[in-house]
Amino acid sequence: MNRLPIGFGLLLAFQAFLVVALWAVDPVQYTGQRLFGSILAAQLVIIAIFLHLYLSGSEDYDQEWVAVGLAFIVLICLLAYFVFAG
Amino acid sequence: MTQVQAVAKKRSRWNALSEWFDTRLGLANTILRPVPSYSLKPDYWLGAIAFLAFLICGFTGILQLQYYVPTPDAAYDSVQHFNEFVPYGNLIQSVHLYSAFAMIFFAFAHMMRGYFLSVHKRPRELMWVIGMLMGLSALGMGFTGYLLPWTVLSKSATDISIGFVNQLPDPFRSFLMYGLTGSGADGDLLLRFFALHTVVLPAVIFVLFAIKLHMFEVHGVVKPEGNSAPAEVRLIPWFPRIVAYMLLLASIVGSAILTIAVLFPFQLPAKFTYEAAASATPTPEWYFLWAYQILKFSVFEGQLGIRLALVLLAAIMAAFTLLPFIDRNPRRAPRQRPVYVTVGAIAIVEVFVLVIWGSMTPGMTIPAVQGVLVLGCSALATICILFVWHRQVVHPSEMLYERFLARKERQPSPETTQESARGDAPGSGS
Amino acid sequence: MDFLLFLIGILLPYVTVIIFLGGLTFRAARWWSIPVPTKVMLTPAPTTWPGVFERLTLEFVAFRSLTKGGWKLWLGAWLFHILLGVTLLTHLINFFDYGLWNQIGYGWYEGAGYAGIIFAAVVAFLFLRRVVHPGVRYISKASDYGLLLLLLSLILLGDYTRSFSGVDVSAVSQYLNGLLTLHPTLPPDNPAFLLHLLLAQVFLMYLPFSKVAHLVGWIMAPTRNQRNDARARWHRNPWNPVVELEPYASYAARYQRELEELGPGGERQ
Repeated sequence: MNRLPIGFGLLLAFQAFLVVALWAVDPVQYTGQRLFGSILAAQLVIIAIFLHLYLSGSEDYDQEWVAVGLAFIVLICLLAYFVFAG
Repeated sequence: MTQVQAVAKKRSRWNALSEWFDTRLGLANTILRPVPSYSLKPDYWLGAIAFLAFLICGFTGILQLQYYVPTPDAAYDSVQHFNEFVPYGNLIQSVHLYSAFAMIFFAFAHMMRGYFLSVHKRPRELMWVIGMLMGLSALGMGFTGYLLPWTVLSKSATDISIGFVNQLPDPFRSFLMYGLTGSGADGDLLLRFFALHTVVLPAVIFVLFAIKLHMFEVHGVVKPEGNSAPAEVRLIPWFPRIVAYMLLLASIVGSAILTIAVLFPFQLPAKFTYEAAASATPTPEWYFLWAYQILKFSVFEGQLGIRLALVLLAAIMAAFTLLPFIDRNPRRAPRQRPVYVTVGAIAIVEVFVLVIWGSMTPGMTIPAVQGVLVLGCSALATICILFVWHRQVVHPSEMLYERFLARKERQPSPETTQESARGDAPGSGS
Repeated sequence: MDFLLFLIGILLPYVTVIIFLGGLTFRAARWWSIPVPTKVMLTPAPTTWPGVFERLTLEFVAFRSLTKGGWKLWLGAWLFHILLGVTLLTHLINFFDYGLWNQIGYGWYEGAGYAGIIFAAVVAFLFLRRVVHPGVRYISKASDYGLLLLLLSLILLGDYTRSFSGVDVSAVSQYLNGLLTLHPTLPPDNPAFLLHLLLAQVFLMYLPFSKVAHLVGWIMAPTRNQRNDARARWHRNPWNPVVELEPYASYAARYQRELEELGPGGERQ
């Protein structure tokens, strides 16, 4: 299964992008704090996906939980765009 | 050969690292023993999640402590300053609020899960009692912390609660009133609540946690019974897999709390003044709404009524705390203790109903008939649903077999074939 | 630009409605006319019509058959349909009686906005599930991915139109009322709204030819709407020719008579 390293790499790259995005947030501003919180939540979900993959081994992991985690990151990014950055 | 070495079959880099730590720290032998594989499910870790929420509360609380001033004149302003001018202030306050909610919610879920799975039976009776004391301390943390921002809602609600305590009979009344309010001035009240919230209750929780953790390490995880009993129990060493699982749960809980804090940020109500309090309708936080709703019943009005209600609430708490000495049945599986399962289910449903009802009727006295109707109907509905579930899911095979036997007894064989040919289909509409 | 507005805003809607309604009717009629001579219901199945009604109601309200695919799939699909219903209801209120929001409350309007965002995340979960889970990936075709991506882009465009495009809802309402009363006017010149409208019409035109026609098909599936009464009622196939039964005695007499008419050796003809 070549998709696993590719998916891993994409998630890591996205995590690096989120770390960079954190530096651009204004922590005193109200919406800036909410944006910071949502980026941190996305980071934690990515860590949770990595830990889930580590714990279950790469053969029989529950793929649907990975999809749930990725969808949660999508939800957080959508909230960040539509609610906090607007 | 240590227990870790006996369990790990393959020598890998992770095992070598864990052995290095274990030979120096000796944790696997003393407090962090290997965990059975069947316990790597979230419902075994509800207590750990509650404690994690407590730690998040502590961390965000320490951050807030750098700016908070515990005097009635400056408390609200310091909280408002933290909310508006300190970087990440509002986020920290929101996370503090929602992890407090999460702590109480998961402590309740942990208790009810343990109740249904009979963890309070021998030899874990004392673990249950200590756990209940921790839960009451967590509620105390919520109670004392609610006053600290000195807002209209929180001071009014606390005044009402102190009013209830003031109605107790005398030895309890004077002791509790002096402990909570000192001379009765606002300054004394705030300072005592501040001390309780930041020092006394956290210390109590930590000590109780240490005792409970020690007992947990002695007794181990409760083995599931009946259908979910595992055929073979595999022990997993604590480092690295259990650490990874704990980090996984922590990440999920942390991200959930952050998401909720971001979606529903904390908004500071108005500052407390005696004029503003006259027109405000005080309500406690949701975790006390069930008790407050009971106190709002019209039968509990007047000094005698309040005492009766407080005795009732204390009796409920005492019954749950002393449950191991009330429930002496040695059977563990839920389907073998239907009465206690029903009582537990009714308790959960009633708490739920009371909290929702309380949020819909702020400040209103509830007539006795309405109280009896609402609580009685929800209890009756719970009993009916559990009864149906018991007949359909728990013992359906026995029920069908009984019906089959009864049918065979009623009709001898030649009439049986005629009956089935008439088109009288068995089990229709199931 | 006016021509594009005319194309997307006036010509295409009527074409879409014709294809949508005509296509669905055709599909439904074809399904209805397909003969089902045998009992093909998925067991355990009810044996009475009230039981069938209960099964179909559970299917419609709670998506009971999807629980066989796991609770996460069930939750995702159920939430998807609930949020789709909420979105359609919000669209109807917005376009035909915007003043109703004053009575319903602004909080519910905000909630509908959040529902649109959660809707996008749920569709993203269903799509990601098809990509990540190897079993589901194996049975997925391009149309499965394509439909989900079309829906996802439709929802995201809808969220953007609602939040950032600055479109005037009353103008949209007037435009739609014009279409309904067959006095069409050009739609509002808002690019996000026009793109959302275009994608919605593409989706509606594609709907009768895709699996989304389960909109009308779910109730006609014989695997769910048949009674499990094969052992209780004698099923007589309506196409069987009518067989005239003859008693043996008269058959034997007729056979004897015909043999005698043919004479000796006549049976060899």
